[in-house]
Amino acid sequence: MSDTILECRNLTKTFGRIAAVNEVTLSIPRGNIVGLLGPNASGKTTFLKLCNKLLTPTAGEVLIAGHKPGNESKKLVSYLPEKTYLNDWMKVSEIIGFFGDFYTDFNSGKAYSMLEKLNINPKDRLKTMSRGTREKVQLILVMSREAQLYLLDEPIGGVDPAARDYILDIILENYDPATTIILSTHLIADIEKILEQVVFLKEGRVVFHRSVEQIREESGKSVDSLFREVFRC
Amino acid sequence: MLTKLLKYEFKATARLFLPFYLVLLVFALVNRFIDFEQLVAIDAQVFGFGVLEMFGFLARLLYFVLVVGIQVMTLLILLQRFYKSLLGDEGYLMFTLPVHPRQHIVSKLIAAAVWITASGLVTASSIMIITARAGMWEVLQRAVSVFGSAFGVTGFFVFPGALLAVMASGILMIYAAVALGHISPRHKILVSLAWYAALGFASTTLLFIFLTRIRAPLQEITGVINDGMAINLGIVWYVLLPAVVLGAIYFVLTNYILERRLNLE
Repeated sequence: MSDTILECRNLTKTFGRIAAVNEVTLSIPRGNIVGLLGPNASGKTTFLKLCNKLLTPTAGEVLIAGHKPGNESKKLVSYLPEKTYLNDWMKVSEIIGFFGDFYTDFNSGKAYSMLEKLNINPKDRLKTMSRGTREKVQLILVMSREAQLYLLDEPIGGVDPAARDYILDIILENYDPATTIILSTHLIADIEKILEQVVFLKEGRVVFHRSVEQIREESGKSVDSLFREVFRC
Repeated sequence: MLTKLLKYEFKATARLFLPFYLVLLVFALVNRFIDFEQLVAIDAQVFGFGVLEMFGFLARLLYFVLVVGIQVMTLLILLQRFYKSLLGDEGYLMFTLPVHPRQHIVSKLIAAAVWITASGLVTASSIMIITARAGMWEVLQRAVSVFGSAFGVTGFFVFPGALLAVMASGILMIYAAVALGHISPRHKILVSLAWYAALGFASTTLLFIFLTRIRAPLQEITGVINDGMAINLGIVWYVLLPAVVLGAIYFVLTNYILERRLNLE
């Protein structure tokens, strides 16, 4: 098993004349929690969609555990998009059945126990839930897989600050040191404590990729203050 | 994986179709028992004007609205299940499942074909409910035996087979048009409609060329295949073959776009 879980070479995605992801070359080793950080429109979502084959690259390539995005990579990746993608007519328990049917690494016991902790009734339909609760359900589903790579797009963006800590706890509780989590956000202060590596994206390019330890050693700064410095308007 | 996809596809669509079918059949039953002569008589005796007659007329009108409604709904759901569930927000889930795009297309196609057939059968049954009279069963049996003596047992397979192929090819043409519209950077729905018209035109032209140019050799082939029944059944091959070929082209095209050119924005 290779040490690299995600690798991209000159990965580029343009929309018209705008390059949302611009010649990104990146290698993420296994067993890390990586923050994909950048201001709005820096290419975070586009990058994660490229890794999931929801977008087709204009140039370059991305490899997940050596596989081009496709059936094999989809078995390894658990992805939380920034959209609500679930059928709203289904009950939570039915969606759990759906995930169990399609993903062999899905642990429904884990999902039910997280639902219970968050006081979400599995018999409820998504239609009747608030946006925040739906996002929690989605995160629970994604974290209930025993995947090799978790790609989480703004996992704490839509929930209130009180729930953020709980969500970070969910992520940490389910984190197996052999797996890798890449999460995008602009709410850095909230997630800084769990990050081991950071990648700064600016206008589709990687401007910075270091371990959090390195940042502290080299600059003595927190990720949040370094981010503010790099992206000062 | 295909069976699992089909399970959820039918679950998602049955909840829309079944109540509609039930309402249509109930309305057919209501219409079956409406006797306008009787209603007019009661109206004259009790109300002095056509109250019941108006309700009877309304029930008949509603039935026709439902019949048209079911056909429209079938088409809209067929479109929506492909467009929304694969190329809309739900696509984020469907395309991150470890399932090949061709399996998505096949599952949508099978479900669409089943529902189109079901809608047709339910509509036909509702008409039978309203119009059934004594001796109708015998008429139907006679029609079946006339068909059997004209086309043989093969006919019972070839004709529905040809119908199914034409239906599948029609559905796949819609999928291909939607997929082609999807790769356009702007105005996806408008571009899909334009592609639908273009594919329709191209297919008709090809069919026309096929029918006029390749008629003779085809007759030889069908003559051999059908062992003497070419005169009757041969005509089906002219429909079946182009439908299969065009359907295959649309399938490959749609699969290529979903596999290689997907861009969920």
